[in-house]
Amino acid sequence: MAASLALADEFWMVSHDKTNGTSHLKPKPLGIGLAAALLSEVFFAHWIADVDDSALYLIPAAETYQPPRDPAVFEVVRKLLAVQTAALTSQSRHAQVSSPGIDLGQTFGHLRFGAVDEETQEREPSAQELIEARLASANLVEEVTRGLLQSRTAYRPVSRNISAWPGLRVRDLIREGRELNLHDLTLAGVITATGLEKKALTDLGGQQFKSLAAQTARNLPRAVKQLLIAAETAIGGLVATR
Amino acid sequence: MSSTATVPNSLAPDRMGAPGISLAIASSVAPLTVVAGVVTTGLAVTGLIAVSSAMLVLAVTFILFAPGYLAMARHITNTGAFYAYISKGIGRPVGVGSSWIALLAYNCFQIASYGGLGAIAEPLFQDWFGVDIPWWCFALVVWAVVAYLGRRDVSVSEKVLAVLVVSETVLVIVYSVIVLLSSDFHFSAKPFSLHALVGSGGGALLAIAATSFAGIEQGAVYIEESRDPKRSVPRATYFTIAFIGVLYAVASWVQISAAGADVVERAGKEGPDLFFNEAAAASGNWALDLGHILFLTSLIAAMIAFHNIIARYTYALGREGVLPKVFGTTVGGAPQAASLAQSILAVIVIAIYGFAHLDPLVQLFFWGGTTGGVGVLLLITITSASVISYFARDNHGETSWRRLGAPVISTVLLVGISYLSIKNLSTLYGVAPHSGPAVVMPIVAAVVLVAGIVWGLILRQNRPEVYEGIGLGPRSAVVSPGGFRQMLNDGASATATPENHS
Repeated sequence: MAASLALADEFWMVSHDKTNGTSHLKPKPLGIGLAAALLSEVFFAHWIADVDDSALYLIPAAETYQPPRDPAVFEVVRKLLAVQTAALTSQSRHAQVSSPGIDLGQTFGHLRFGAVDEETQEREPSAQELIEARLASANLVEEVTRGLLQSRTAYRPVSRNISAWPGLRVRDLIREGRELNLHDLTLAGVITATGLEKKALTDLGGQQFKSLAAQTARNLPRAVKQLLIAAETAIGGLVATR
Repeated sequence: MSSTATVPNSLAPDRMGAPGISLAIASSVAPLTVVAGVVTTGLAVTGLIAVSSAMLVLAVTFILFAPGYLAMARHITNTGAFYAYISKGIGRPVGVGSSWIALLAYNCFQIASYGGLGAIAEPLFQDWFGVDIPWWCFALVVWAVVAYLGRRDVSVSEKVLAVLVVSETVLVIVYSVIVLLSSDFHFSAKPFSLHALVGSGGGALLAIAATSFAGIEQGAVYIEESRDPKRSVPRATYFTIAFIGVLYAVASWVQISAAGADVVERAGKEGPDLFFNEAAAASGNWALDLGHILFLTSLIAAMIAFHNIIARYTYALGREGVLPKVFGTTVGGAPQAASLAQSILAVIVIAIYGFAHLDPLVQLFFWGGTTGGVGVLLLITITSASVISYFARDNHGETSWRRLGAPVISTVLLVGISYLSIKNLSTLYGVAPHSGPAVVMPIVAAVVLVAGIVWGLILRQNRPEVYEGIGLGPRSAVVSPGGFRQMLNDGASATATPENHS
């Protein structure tokens, strides 16, 4: 099996057209899906200890470890640590809690829109910007200019071989009834949570979906399940109220 | 969770502040449609002219309604829908009933717009191109566009809506000033008579004013995307209600004062052109053309917006199991079944009106619009009562003004206004007492409400898991087929092995 890309990069490939790079999702669900994929990466890099209904918890003494090498994961961990530190400072008068939770909705908000640094007043990059920068620096995508009236920068996969691979790999594994590793299982989860399964996981029968469901329920870590549930809920809210 | 960190000041520029939210709320009301369409037709049909005072009374009532409503919105999910508040405040069966009423009311608004559009476009095409095309042809063309866009979930961009609403508002202000300064203007205090509101037929004016404000509840939707939900959303809501209240009151007053003694007759004869004609008399014919164009564009934008609102609302109800499951499915992220159902309903109504040669302006646009308005008024009244009962159980850390003072005053006012509106339905529709729509509409509404309540009770009995989720929207445990949570549930029940905690 060929080496796969980072999880969020692969979701980017699945959620965009293989050739011209237009998004299959509308901007808001895309932002939520990419945020969930990137947070899953942070979890698999062992920075997140647990996630519950409303908060995520970093590993104990996270600030003492060497920062992650991946630039996108680095940015997210840095932000999460900053929020946790701010919370600890504001709570110092109260009884100190071991590791305070970080609001999940707010984290998704930061990753979707890009937070503003309080001191420098500079906007920090959103999950989408982090992922696209990572893809561009690895020469996996190239810049294109889109839009008739307001031109904006977008990205296009450099090679169809690379862009088609993640979706096809996951689909074929499921089709053959194989056991998916955690990386692929999470990717299938993000695809399902963003409603892309009809586009990406085509030609699968009920039995194959059952097998995927069973593996997901059995093998996916609780934290990732919670992240994906939060993402799906946020997207459901968009369709209902936007 | 023991302690959850939130950092209030790390805000993103993409998020909305009070001005942006004001604009977004204002985009869901249509100032020109109200001033030129609803007010003039209302004058003609009811023969009453105390419009300005009705507008101000409703503005004050809604400003009093907002603090409790928005306070509750911060504590519940699915804030865009009245039935979410009612389910939480009064009970889920009444919530189901009111969700069905809402669907009915929104459909009234949307389909009524086709009548308004046809009625304006028909004489316009005759004027400009000399061709006489029946109104329903225009309605069908726009219907096809709306149905196509709705199926693909293409909505009018927020920017386009904002440009439209700003230009409409500017036009209403400029025309009002032109008319105010013209020689036709003769000061009249009658539009501001409070006494007339409780007099014979006065409730009809209150219903018209309530119709004019439909859409101001939209602020709650932006809570999750706002910079500071406790401040920017309420601020934007108060400002918008006060602003459009004064705008409507003054523009109606100017319009009536300039029309002379025979204002009711003129409104009947000239229809939506009354406002434009007054401005044109003082400044030239360009005012008439410009007014027509903006009137049409804003109606079309409103139709698309309302169609999408109805489709998503139906989708949310289908997803929760309150409506058939088929409506709760999406194709490529678009709620297609729900969209298709609304389009079919609209084309049936247009066809009936076309074949029966009914009047598109009075019998479709005005009747439909005001019926929707009364429906929304009732929903707001029940919602206001729900706020009191919701906070009676737990104060959720809200001030007594927000959870008790304001909601009690607004509920009393709203009950009074609703009572007067329903009592004067025959005046509102311009029909003989106890005849036609004045009898049919309350029966339809009552049947829908009761059927909804019964359905809620059936769900409680037979499908408790669906019942539990009523009003929760996307957080309801019952989700549409497919989706990640469904997959987890399926997988968990199939393997029945304990979850693997990481």
